[in-house]
Amino acid sequence: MLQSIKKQLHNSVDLADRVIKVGEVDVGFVYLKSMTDNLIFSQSIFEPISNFQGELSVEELQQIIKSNDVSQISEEEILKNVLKGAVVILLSNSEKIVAVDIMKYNTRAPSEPPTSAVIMGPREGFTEDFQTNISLLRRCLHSEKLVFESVFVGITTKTQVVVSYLDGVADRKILKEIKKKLENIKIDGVVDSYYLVSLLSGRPNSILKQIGTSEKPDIVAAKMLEGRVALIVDNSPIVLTIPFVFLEDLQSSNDYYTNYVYSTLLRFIRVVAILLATLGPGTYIALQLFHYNVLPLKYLITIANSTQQVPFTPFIEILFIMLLFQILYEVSLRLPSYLGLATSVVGALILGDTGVKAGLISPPAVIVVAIAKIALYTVPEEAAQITLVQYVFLLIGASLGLLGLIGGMIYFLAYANSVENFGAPYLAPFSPFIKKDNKDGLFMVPVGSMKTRPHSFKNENEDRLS
Amino acid sequence: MKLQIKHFFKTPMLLVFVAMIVIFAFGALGTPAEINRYAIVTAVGIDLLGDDEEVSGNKYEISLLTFVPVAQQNFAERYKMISSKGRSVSEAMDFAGLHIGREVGLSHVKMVVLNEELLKDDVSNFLDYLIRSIQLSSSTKLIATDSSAKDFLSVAQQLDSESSIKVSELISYNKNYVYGTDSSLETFFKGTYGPTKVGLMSFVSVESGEGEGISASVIDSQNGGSGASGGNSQSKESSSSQTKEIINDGETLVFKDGKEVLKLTGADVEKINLIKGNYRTGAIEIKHFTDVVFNDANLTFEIFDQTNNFKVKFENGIPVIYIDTSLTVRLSEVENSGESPKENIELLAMTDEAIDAIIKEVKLSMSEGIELMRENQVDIADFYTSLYNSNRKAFLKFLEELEDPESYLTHAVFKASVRVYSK
Amino acid sequence: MRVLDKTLNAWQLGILMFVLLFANKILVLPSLLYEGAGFESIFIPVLLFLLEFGLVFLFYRLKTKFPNETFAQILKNHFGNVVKVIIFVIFMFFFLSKAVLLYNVTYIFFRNLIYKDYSNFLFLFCIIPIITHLAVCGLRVMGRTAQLFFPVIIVIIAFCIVVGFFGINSKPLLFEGSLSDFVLTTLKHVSSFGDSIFLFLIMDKAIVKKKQWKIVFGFSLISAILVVLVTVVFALSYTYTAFLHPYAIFEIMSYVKEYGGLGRIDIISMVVIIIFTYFHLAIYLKAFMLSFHEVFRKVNFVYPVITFNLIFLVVIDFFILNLEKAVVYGENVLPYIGIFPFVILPIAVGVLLLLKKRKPEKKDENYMKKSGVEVDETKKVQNSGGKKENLKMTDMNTENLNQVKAFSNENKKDKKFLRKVIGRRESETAN
Repeated sequence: MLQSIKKQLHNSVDLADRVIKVGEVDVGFVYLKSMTDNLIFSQSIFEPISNFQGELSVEELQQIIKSNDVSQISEEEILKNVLKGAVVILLSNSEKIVAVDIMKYNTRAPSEPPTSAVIMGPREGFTEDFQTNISLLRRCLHSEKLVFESVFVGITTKTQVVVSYLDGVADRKILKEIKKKLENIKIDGVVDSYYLVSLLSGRPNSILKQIGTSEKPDIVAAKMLEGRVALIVDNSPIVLTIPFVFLEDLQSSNDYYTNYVYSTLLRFIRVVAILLATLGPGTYIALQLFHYNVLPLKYLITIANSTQQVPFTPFIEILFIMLLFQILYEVSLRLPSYLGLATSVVGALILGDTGVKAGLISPPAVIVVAIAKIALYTVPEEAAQITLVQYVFLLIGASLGLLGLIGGMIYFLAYANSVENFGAPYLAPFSPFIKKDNKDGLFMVPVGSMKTRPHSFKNENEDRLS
Repeated sequence: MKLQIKHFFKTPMLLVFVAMIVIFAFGALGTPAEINRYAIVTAVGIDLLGDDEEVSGNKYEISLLTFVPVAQQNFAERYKMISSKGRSVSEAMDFAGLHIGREVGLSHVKMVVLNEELLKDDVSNFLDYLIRSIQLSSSTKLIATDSSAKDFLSVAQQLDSESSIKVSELISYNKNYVYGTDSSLETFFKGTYGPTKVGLMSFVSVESGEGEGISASVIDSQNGGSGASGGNSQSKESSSSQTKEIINDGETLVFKDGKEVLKLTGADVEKINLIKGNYRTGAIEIKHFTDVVFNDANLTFEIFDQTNNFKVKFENGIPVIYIDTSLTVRLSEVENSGESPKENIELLAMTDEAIDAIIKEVKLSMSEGIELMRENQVDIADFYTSLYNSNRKAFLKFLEELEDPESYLTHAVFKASVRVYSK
Repeated sequence: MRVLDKTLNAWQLGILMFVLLFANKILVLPSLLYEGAGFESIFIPVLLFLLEFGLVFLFYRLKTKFPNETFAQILKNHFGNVVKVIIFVIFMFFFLSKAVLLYNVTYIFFRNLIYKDYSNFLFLFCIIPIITHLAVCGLRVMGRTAQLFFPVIIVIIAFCIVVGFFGINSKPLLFEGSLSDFVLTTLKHVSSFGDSIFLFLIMDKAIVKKKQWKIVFGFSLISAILVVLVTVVFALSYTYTAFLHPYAIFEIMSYVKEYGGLGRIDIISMVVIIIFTYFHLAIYLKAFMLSFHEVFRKVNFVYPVITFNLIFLVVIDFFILNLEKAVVYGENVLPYIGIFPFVILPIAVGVLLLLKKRKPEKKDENYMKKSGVEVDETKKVQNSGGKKENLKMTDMNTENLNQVKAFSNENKKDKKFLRKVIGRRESETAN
């Protein structure tokens, strides 16, 4: 038996197999050294067994092992348990097999995630270990209604995906649909939760983000309280929430931990920033190529003076600057932080300043691109999408001018309006306009006045405040 | 790959997008900025050419104050004057475009300067081009001048570069704070095409030497300067520089049916403004005034506020126009020739004598203004509309009975009642 | 729980009505009206809007009398198939010809102002794909998108009108034009109105609860008030020079240019015009598609789209592309089309209403006789209709199977709702 297991695991280096004799009985241990706690193994399992006097039976074995996670398993389950980090104990006098879960591996302690940092509010973030994540969620929601259900996804990785929701709040049909979709996934492996995003999206080809992501238990707990379903994927610190509407990314957890009027202001600023980011470069180029006459004289003079020396046409110039910014961004993201500083110095100071001084690029174009690129990160969760849209609108602006820009905007919004994920209109509660949800929309009211759960998607219990 | 191609053709918008890139975006890569294809004109001057030029058929000379970009990062506004000639304004514009190799962009024009000679013609004929050009804002200022428009513009340009005083702002200031004469394309045309057929235009003169206006030293533009000039370019005396000044003292030209009929001085404008009820500033002066407080003093009153009400009644078929004016005034200056006032004048309420004197003065000004309008048959205050709207039938009948329908002001009766409040 | 229906709700319908009633009346209409009838022209929109509201009211009556049927079904049942086809052919023609006029006017406006060097090709390239997308995506997407733009539009228009008030500086002559001028101008521009007959085409798709009718009427009223305000402001600002200023909403903003620091804010009026043009043309295309489907049954949606765009292209490129021609077309050719919304359709609807009223007992009997079958049928029609639309929509957007599944899931949910609605309607009609 041991040989066959060894063969199945291809004689892996971290596989430990050992046979000892206890009285008349041969006791075999199979486990992965890398996945088990050596100390517990020797103290709780090995010591009691080796000290045992007499004829060892499976029942006695389960008695003497100092662990609460002892179970009998069938022969087929051996491999799975070994891979999970259990010690499988085989007895020569019995067909029955015992597995003791003493899994231990290195995990990161919960720390403040780099995304979605808050000024005043909980700083804990999820880790890669799903059990830690469950405990973090449990700490937020002390409720018997909090349900965690497990699904294994991935033929090779067998990644554990925990579907968690509040019973009586989350909509059963949505839940059923999610489970069905998860069960139907036939993929070899799920390495990160993002693998699931495209598999669960209603329109996988769309550039729109259709599944919510979060790295913080407080946010996920709040979303679950609104009736959403959370998917915790083992090995990923990013928890998915379903259904998703665009508004969620416009909201920041900071908004709820500060004055509501200020939050409203911030949300408006975010909307303005999104508009600046998406339409800024496109509008600038459209004005330069098509509609110089709508610019006021003073701006026109500034632009005319500063673009005189530039050897490129305006479109090439702005494409060049956009590309430059994108490269710098990519570099600073990938390089270790101490090198990142160096590149940003090179990028910002040398390339930008010298470029302007040398007359290769003009200051207005640099300003426009810089504003657009900075404004992008007021809504970091949507940065990828907005960057794409930014390029699209740049092309439209250069090709068709103002008419095209507005047409593109209408097209894009109509497209977003046609997306419905798990019954949630993408741009709810703005279109369709849902009055009650707008209490937490662009305008925000104090938490005490948000008396109902969102109507943008279905949930089973409307009232949240009585 | 096959699947991707299939998908590609199933999404028509993607096709449209790719088509857009192929058709337009590649073209846009090579398109220069519009700023470099257009000459941005900020002021237009129009002159009438002399008889000697008419052999060539050219009638007008236009001068365009054009912004020239300078390759530098600090804010710098530099202008160049371009002039060209043509049989019509639009032809001259086309030639101007030829001279600079750029299309003439009129969307930022702030003012149009017209030579006085030109105004003897039918103005609306050639201004028509300007207002029909949809690029041009209808609030563009119209300025008439006694020297050539070209000179005017070169002085204006010099002023701008020396002191950043903009001549178009002088006109705006006049409109908003001094005489209230709105001299823009729109108001001019509104008057001309309106029932009174009277249009107004600000008159600003240019004189040599340093006097009371704002002055600037310019190179005499007739002898050089504009390199792109289509006509004569004698550059003998181009080095001679002289000081010229722009004098804006509120003079206003009055047009009827598109022809100049009258030049109003600032004082005349004030009188008519009293009738119209849009008195902006200035003063009512009362000379040799004596009452309890003052003794033979010259008083100046500042008008704060004026509201006018027109009422029209037809008596025996003749219209009687009642002008009901309320004025709020404040004593602003006292020139005592006799003894100094007995008490602090600031704190005194106006005496009845003073009020009577003001009323008398105002009525006098009004009657002078009306007389002025009657003499020239120009209805600047637009009584026509008031008469027409009050009683259409009676007014039309009244007009029919007149020998000359234009002389309705002469035959109408005006009665004014003035109330004065002190502030 | 809010049911997110596939159909239009009252708000979206109201906003589409707003676009329909507002869009083509703020650009050239005030100027043309002033030229024709003097200052009193401000009463022409008031008069014509009253007629327009009559149409909306007729629709309301028809909708309450025949809550579950489409206009085509009603016409077919009462007048026969031939009349139905004729009326829907006129519908097609009506919307197509109005689309041509609207496109022309906007094209000339933008060509003059901000696209000096660019040809018609660029405009069509912008407009055709986007209106097609809006129309194909369906009414609900269109309604929702319009809903999103609505606050922007209303703020900008309010701003335009307020700015326009500052520009007022002239006293108009009252009753300068004669009555015949007034009547003639009214008749000439009757074709600018009558867009609300679009409602008859979407009779089955507009689900408006009894209390929500006031929303639809409210939006119509707001747009009427705004149009009249724009007309009044324009008439007061350009009293004697209206003929020099053809573009009302843009011209009343032109005084802003004087406030140097702000620059040219008048561009925002252009933004509004662009948004309106897109939506209005999309609605025309949608109306064309809907009536096309009634005339030529069971054809793919591609055919009406292609037909519309082709005719559009041909007419625009070969016949009209300057303001004079467009005005001639609008004033001399189009008014005859105005007969349709203001004469033919009201008569038809009036007759329908009378028929319904005159034979209530007979109808009831019929109802009773058929009720068992008919009500079930309507249920089926509703449900399968819903399904069909869903499938169509997925076809149009080329989605994968998942989407269909999701839709069918939703359809199950919708069924419950529909049953409720039908039940409620039955009780209403019984009452």
